[in-house]
Amino acid sequence: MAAVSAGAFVGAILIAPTAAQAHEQTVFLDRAGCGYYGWSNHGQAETARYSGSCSGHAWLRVNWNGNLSSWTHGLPSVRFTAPGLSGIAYSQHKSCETCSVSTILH
Amino acid sequence: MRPLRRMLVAGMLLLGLAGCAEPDRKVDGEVPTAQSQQYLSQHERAEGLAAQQRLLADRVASRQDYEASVDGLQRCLSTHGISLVNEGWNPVDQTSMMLWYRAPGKPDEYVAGYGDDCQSAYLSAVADEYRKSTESIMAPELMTLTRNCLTAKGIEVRGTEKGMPDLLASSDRHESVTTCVESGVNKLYPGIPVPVGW
Repeated sequence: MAAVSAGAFVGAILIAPTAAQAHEQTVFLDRAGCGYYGWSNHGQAETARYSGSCSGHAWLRVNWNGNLSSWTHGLPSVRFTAPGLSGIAYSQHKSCETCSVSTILH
Repeated sequence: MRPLRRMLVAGMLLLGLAGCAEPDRKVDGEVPTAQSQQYLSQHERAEGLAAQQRLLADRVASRQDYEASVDGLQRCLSTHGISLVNEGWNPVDQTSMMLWYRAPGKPDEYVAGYGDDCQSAYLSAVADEYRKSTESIMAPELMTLTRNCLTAKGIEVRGTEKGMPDLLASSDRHESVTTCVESGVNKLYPGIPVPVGW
């Protein structure tokens, strides 16, 4: 899975953003030798571990249509797809329950 | 400078300008991280933790314990003017509930702060225990659609899979599995945002 996630990640940063994807961004979350990333645009958000074998889950929450989700998590990845692929105001990402939070605003 | 190289440089500059036009949207520390646990009073927090302790006294977190904890979370949030929107058990694994905080007009920091604090006090320990002790089982109707989707993609399924772990174990095409699950989610639960973890 790590290879797939890393591939998706590399793809995400290699593709130049079009106007429709203007609010797409990736953040890096390092943790004890493991690499995690958070990524989102208006319609999707994802947190994933892309390298290393840390047991810390990938954590994600989003503000969608004015509501804030509680934190959800998965290992190695967790993804949120908004109905209609729109409405995400911001996403928040972390690499363990008590780790620091990175935020992507849209 | 050769024409091709000049075009490449020009293209890179344009991309750079596009990037500059879009401000850096990583804003660590400016928006609600809400992990400081400073929103609830000591009394409120102690009350929530005691409730979780009582539910976990038998060292087992049942579905009823989880739902009772969510009731506590709802009361905690309500006290501070935040509504809990409960979309029910996540059909992908049925080990957690899909919970949203809603408080129109209240600042994000406020909602995230009380949301996290109330969840920590009233739900987190029970939810963690429930997740650890409960097998990930996909809702049957979602599993059926997911299996059909995978088969249509030429990916073999055994037909005995119960959840995401089984589907991922029986296929090395993880992206196809998650795509099929998300496709099924969209068909079965339109309008409901369902997080997919794996």
